[in-house]
Amino acid sequence: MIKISQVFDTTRRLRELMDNLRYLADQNNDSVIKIGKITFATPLSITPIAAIINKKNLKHSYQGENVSYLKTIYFPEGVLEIDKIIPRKTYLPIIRLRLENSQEKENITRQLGALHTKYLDLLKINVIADQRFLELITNNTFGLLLGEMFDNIAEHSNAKNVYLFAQYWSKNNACEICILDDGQGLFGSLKNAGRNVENDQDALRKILNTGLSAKTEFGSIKRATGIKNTRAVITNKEINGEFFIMSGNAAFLQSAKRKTFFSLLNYSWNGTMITMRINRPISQFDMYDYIK
Amino acid sequence: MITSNKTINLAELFNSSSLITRQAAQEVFNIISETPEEMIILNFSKIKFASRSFFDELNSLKSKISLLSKKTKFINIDENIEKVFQLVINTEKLKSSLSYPSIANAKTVTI
Repeated sequence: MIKISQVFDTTRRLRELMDNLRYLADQNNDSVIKIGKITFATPLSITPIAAIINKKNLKHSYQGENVSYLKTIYFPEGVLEIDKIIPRKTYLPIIRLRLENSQEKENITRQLGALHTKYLDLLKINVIADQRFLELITNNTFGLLLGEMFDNIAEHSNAKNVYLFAQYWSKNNACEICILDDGQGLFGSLKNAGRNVENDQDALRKILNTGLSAKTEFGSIKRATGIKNTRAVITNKEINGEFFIMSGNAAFLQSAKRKTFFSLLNYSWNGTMITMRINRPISQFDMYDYIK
Repeated sequence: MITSNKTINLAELFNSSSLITRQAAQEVFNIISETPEEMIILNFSKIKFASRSFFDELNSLKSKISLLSKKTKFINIDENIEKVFQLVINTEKLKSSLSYPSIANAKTVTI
């Protein structure tokens, strides 16, 4: 059964997520997934579940009174047309962007650009109901964070689907955004670009430690400054947030105080998932203090 | 000598107010390389956001643009977007000394 607890501790949520993903990995087309009572779920906990249920076209049944919440966030299908989203407070539904018919990079660029513009506007209205939060963080910061992740998807993922889900909790003065794709993952991207990487763990460590990235056609090496800048913006003492990335059987979590690598036992995520937890700063935040 | 100009309205070209991908910069370069005009004006009117990646790619193509005996000029660029562009220009000078925060002290947990 899929179980999602109402906790904010990220390591606890990760352990629970892995249990849920391993449960889903064992299911086939004839299975009926049981989903336990869920009154709310953080983006990190629910978005990958939605992606797998859709990918494997799994039937599902709900235990308990959780249907209305999950329906509100359009779980698991997600919203395909962002223009049809009805404004609500504190959360946006799961957004699903299908890229499978857009193998031309130019089309992917336009799709992601359009999603970026619309999602930033929706974040302002729907998610960040606390206007002071938005004033302190600024829309430019959200623009940077989303933009860098979307560029990585366009450049490296070869994904067919992108999922995006955000929530804001006024009690915690925090916002969490989850972006995931079903593409080739970090190891696949680097390997296919001819980079010297051995496995998922090695790929992730080299990206984080040295900025290893795919080569351009002219041999100059682009450095992964997107992820570097994202980590710097989120995990400094002002924002005091969390950055999480998972690809294959490797994952990494960084906060202002701690960095942890995770080795996923008997599981591999096909693609890349990034979750960003952004806390309200005490004073005006300037992202230019942290990005290069 | 009269220099011929071409204006590219970026918001119209991409049907978006966000310029976020390196591919978008490549597209701009492709148009620049195919057009006969020598001065290309990039109009940022209605552009609300441009990523560092977009400008980094555009900046990396400037030598190719010069080789084509062409020049570019930005107009109607929002001050926040201008800041990102300047950041890229300044970082270019530092590229050889770009460092990454160490992950050496990160523990590894199996889950």
